[in-house]
Amino acid sequence: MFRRKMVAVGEWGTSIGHALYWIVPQTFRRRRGHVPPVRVFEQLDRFAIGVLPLLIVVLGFVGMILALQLATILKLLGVVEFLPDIVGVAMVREMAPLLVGIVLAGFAGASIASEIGSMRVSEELRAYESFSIPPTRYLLAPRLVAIAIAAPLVTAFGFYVGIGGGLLISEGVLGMEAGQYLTRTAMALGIEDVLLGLLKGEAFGIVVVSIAWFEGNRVTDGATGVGRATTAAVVKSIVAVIATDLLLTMLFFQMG
Amino acid sequence: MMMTDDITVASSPVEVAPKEPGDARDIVVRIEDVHVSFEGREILRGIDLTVRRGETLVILGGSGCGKSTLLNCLTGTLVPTRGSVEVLGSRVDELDAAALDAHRVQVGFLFQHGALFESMTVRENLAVVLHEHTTLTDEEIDILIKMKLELVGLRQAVDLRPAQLSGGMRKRIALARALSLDPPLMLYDEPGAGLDPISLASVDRIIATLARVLGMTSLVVTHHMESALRIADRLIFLHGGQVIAEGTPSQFREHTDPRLRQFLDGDAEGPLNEPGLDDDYAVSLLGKELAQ
Repeated sequence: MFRRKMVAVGEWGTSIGHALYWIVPQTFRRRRGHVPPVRVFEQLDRFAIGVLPLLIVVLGFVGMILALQLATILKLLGVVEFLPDIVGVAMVREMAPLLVGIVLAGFAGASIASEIGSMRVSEELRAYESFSIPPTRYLLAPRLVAIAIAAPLVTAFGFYVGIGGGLLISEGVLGMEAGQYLTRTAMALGIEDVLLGLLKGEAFGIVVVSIAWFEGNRVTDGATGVGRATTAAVVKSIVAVIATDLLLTMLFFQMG
Repeated sequence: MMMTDDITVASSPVEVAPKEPGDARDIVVRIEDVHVSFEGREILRGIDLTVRRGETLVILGGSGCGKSTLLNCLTGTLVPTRGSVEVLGSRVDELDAAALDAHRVQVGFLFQHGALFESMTVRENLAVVLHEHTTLTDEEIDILIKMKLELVGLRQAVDLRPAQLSGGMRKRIALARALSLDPPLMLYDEPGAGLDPISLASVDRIIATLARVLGMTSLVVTHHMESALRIADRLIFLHGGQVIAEGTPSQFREHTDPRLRQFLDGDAEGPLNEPGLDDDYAVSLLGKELAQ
């Protein structure tokens, strides 16, 4: 059992290694050996555009919930003017990247795992191999490049949506002026907060894509296997995103 | 084209080799004493096989007898546990990853269900292979794609997606894609699977044309007897991971070996039936004590 798990981890690492081998020194070479740009753009559309409506709903609502919860306590303490500071910092350092990671796990992770799993079942992956076109270059690398570009962008978008949700509550329920709210938020946030949030988003995106690839690529049992891989990809991605979050938070806590 | 005059039917493995003396350079596939095992189960047990340039060899056998495993050994997807596999002058079982990539470009493979790239159009299915392995311009690739599609009679399907194609069309598009790099050796894994008789005849005609006009060497795994006898120069019959018969189509039609006879006639009862299934059924149904 343990041995099988170690082999699985080894296969996962090998796939990522192969993809990086194609991405790092050879990205976008014109002919043989290039990561096809058109495939990267297809994936960018999926990761950066397709996910936006869901992010607006999730992060907008969470921003509102956070503001409402904090308002009750801050009112009791008589420091309700600190609401924008807390919502801003919480959203940028933690909530937006984490929720982006979880949304990506459900949105991109599930679709990648089912897509690659179906390709495994229908022998499409074998067909790539039979033409000496490495699936790690043609299928995984474009997804990794796309998520590396898209994840920080959608995380940054998440900052605005989450803070916007808090703003709506502050203005509508607490009567705080929008200008005052935004000024306080900007004052509270440092560049290191933004960078940490973006770095987390990037890390979560890569974790989600690599796990989804791995689960899809090892499908063996037809349609049942595809379903199982999709579930496994989402569950493992969410756990891995939260674990990565903890690791990065601890690391940055140590670094001060 | 090599044609043998005598049929070999034996209960033990026989070496399948051309009977005519010929130039060794004409040999495209040479398999010697190949054994393949999975999890303790031996799939192939000492296969010897030689295929000459321009020959169409059909591999027959029941499900699970090792036909597809044999093809996978030729592409290098599987490494035999024992024995040697030589294709187009290279020992496939000894190639490193880079050499294996180069080898696969020379071996066309038609998958059982086509394995078309579903997210791409027919044009893109062929173009991706040509972009990958040639330095042709986009215009040249476009011309080549039309030529390959014309070869399989589907030039008008160039902008369709696989989901818009029938089973027969998918198979022919997959064949056009497999032929896009003009491989000297083509491997067909159940080309007739899921096809109606007309589509099957159409695929057969293409396979025969490729051999006759282009001198292409072909190995065809199939269950369709009519199709096999139509396209084959030579046939072999696999059973229990061994070659138990080989000969020309006319020799296969007339042979007397009961195992081959059962397969060719499609009899439900005979020596090829899985042993012990009925005994196991009684035990599984009634339990060991009652079954006895």
